[in-house]
Amino acid sequence: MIRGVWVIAHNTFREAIRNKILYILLFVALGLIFSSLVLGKLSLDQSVRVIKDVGLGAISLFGVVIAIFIGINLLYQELDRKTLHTILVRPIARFQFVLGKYFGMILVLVLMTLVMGAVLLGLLHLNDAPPDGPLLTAILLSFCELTVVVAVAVFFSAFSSPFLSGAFTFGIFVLGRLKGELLDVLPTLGLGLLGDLLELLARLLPNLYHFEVASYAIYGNQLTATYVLSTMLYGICYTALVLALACVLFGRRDIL
Amino acid sequence: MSEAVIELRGLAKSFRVGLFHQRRVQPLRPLDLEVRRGETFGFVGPNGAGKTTTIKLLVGLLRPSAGTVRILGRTLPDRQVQRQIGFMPEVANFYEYLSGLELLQLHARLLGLPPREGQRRIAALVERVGMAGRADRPLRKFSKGMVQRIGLAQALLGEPQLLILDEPMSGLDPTGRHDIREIILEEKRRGTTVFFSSHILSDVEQLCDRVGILAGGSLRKVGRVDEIGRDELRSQEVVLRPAAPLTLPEGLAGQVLDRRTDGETTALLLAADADLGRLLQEILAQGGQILEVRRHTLGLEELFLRETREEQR
Repeated sequence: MIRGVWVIAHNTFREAIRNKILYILLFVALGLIFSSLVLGKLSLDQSVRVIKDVGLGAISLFGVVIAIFIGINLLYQELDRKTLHTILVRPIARFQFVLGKYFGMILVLVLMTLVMGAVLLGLLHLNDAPPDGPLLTAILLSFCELTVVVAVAVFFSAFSSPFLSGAFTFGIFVLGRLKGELLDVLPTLGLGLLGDLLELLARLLPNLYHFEVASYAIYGNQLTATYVLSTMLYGICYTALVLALACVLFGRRDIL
Repeated sequence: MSEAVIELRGLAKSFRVGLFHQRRVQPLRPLDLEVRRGETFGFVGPNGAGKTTTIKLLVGLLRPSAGTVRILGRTLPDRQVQRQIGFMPEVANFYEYLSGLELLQLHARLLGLPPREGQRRIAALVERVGMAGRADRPLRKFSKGMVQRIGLAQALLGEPQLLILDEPMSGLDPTGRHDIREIILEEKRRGTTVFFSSHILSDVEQLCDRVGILAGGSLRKVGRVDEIGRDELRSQEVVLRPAAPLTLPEGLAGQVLDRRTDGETTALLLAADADLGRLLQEILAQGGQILEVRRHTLGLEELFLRETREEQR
């Protein structure tokens, strides 16, 4: 089973790294991270904090853009171009195909996060700031958030067009970041049955706020190991659930 | 009798279309068919007849709305059976970011071939499909014919027992058609069961043992290529002596389509539904000698046109 997933993942990774748009996005992200040097100089003795703030923001923002942009096309493009016709006839199950596409994309995000993270650490080194635990934790959780976002993108890609998948995934990313506030506000609006329904939908969203820990890293506050591990476990469980649904949907559909 | 490699029983497919899935279309009506080991079966029909739908059902890309598909005695999906199927789709779209060799390597890995065995088969197939020295170029730079050749190579990579080809010769120049035809013939000689769709009837006549004519989603005729039209009379011919014109009763005279004489004999061409018995009696009654009675049956092309004409209107 793992061999089939790996073959598809390897090919998905190869496809992504031969995509020029990925490099354009990476260069823009690196440009933004490098701009933190200038912004840091403009600040008053806060250059390290500015570099961390801008750098972590760039890793998160461009990671999400790459995750959504490539993630929404993972299955749709295969269906649209009919490239999967000869693949699915091979001794490979459809769920292996979906998982292979997902893990291929995760490999791309590992590479992107490593490159962006390395540049960020390099800039901090130039400012005599060695890598610290809170910063590495923030990069790790930012990457975990991306794994959830890609899973959501793959889920939508299994049955809708890239435009709709992109809109839904971006919407879920934004609302997922605001999940705590949504759950606090909705009961106070007095919407009755509609409010209950919206609350139920809000509860289905991933709580991405847990992954956004840049402020801890900027001020050098270390999160507890329990928080980090439980957040990662939450991300893995949510991802597994969404991918399972994507596999079921993709497994049932006709490949036209 | 040899084992059935493909068994279709009541196989049908319908789709719901429209914004609210309110309309139902049925590209394939219940279809029963068996293809036996070592046979080369041609599936012919006009565009939209349901050939590609049937093939997609065969390889598991579509799910049947009714009926069953059994390949090599088992129902798909089945890993062991999938290893034994070689498939080339009608529109052979492959990953354009790969080279021809990379595509074949990808398929070798999907088949679970050991690397050395994969390399050996790839090298042999690249040679066999006439792509030696050209297969390392990116697929996006390939011509249609080159893509078809690489597509055929990937279909043959698993040394399949069953080769399913959807319009393998479409859009190819005469050389490409010839080469692909030769490869299919080689596979046939090796004992591979070949199921292919086409609307190039001359290819079907040259390659196939049996043929099925599909029109409007229904299988209209199935039979051996050399026998399929044998029961279908196009016309009848009676050669008689003397050459002198016969006086035929009014009912019979109208059934004669053509009359030719060479000075010694007369040949009467009759409609398929002419009353031959009565005509022969009349000839004998008038002192004629019947030399030969010929039955002109339909060829594949005529049968194809007759079966598909209504659907095309």
